[in-house]
Amino acid sequence: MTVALRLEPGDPTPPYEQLRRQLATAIESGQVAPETRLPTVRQLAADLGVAAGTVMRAYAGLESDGLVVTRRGGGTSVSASPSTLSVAERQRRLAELVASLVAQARRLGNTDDEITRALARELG
Amino acid sequence: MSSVVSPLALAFVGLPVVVVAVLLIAAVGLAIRRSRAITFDEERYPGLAALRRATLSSRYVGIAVSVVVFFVVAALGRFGQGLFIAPAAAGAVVIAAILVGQRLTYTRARTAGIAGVERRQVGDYLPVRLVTIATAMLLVLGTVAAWTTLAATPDALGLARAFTHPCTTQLWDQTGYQEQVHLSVSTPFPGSYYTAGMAVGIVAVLALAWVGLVATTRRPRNGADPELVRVDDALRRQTAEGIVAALGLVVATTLAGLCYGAAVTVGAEACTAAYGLGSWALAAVAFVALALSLWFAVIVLVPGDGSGKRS
Repeated sequence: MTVALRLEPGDPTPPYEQLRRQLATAIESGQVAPETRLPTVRQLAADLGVAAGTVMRAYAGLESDGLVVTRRGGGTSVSASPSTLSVAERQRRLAELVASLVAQARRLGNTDDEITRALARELG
Repeated sequence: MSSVVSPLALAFVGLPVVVVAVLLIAAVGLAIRRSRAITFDEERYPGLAALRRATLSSRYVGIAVSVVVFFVVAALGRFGQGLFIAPAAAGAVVIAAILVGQRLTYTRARTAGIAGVERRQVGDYLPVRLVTIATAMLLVLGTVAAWTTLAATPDALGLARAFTHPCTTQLWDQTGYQEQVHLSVSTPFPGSYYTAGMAVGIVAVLALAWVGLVATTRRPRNGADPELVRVDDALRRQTAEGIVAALGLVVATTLAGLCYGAAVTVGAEACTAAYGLGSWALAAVAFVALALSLWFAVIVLVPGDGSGKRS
């Protein structure tokens, strides 16, 4: 099944960083297998409706993190052995996600109690 | 007075009728098998529904316009020169119409900010069987056209559209048995007068078809929802199939015309068995190309469900 990418227009995080984070999570969690060829910059930019530079910046970030490799003429693919997340890194990412979720939920006018209850419901 | 029809004459008239009837029945059968539309929840995916309607409408408008273009272009030039360019011109209209329909409406099937992690390539949507047959016919067309171009000689007006070959006539006269060699010249023969324009037309349609296939592959897709991907892929395959079938139709009809023209001219003055055989071989290729033209025409006319199973 194809992994979905979604840029949130209300999120203050720049689109390239949203994209980098989502792709990093998909790679590190194993949803996107090692050596999988990622979409071309042109294709992903057209699909998302963003400038090619946004995708190029996200790919460059992933490359400097060692998650993807870019070969001239061969496009960008997931590294053969992408780094797996350490416990500290996993917790940092979780904190980032929760902070983003809480900020968005507050912007929608939800109280902290409502957000907590919604999270508890979601967690079952 | 009673007339007796010989079995040979009956076969000569009856065989083509039977063959045409069989071909038409096969074409109708294929059309019925292909008459299945892409089914999906149109209320859930209104953009894809609009895209499907637009690409199909533009295809039929293109087919209607291409018929007019065919006859207009066929009438151009002297000595039937336009006939060799008309299939390419008509095919280009069909491909262009499919592309315009897709280009005008694909944004309706678009939700910015959503995408899937997938890499789409032209090969993902190509109908393998159609491409194989179209490529094989293109090779045959290139070979036959190269031969007719090289074999042609200038006619009385200096145009490369004549076929000249030596013929030996055996004569008895007062001095006895004599062999007389004379040059037999027949027209029209598909020399460079016809094949130059034809080649330009075919190359142009090939380029247009490639542009169309790339545009179809690169058309944005927004999302990774499996149902959306299934429907969108089916629409892309349907469009790619239409483009390749239109290209195949161009190549097949051009090949049929080229071989038929060459067969008639070579056969008309066939003073040796070799020329007679050559003429029949060209006629056979023309017949196969004609049958395949019918097949491609059905695929262009009946778009199918984009499953890629029958092409």
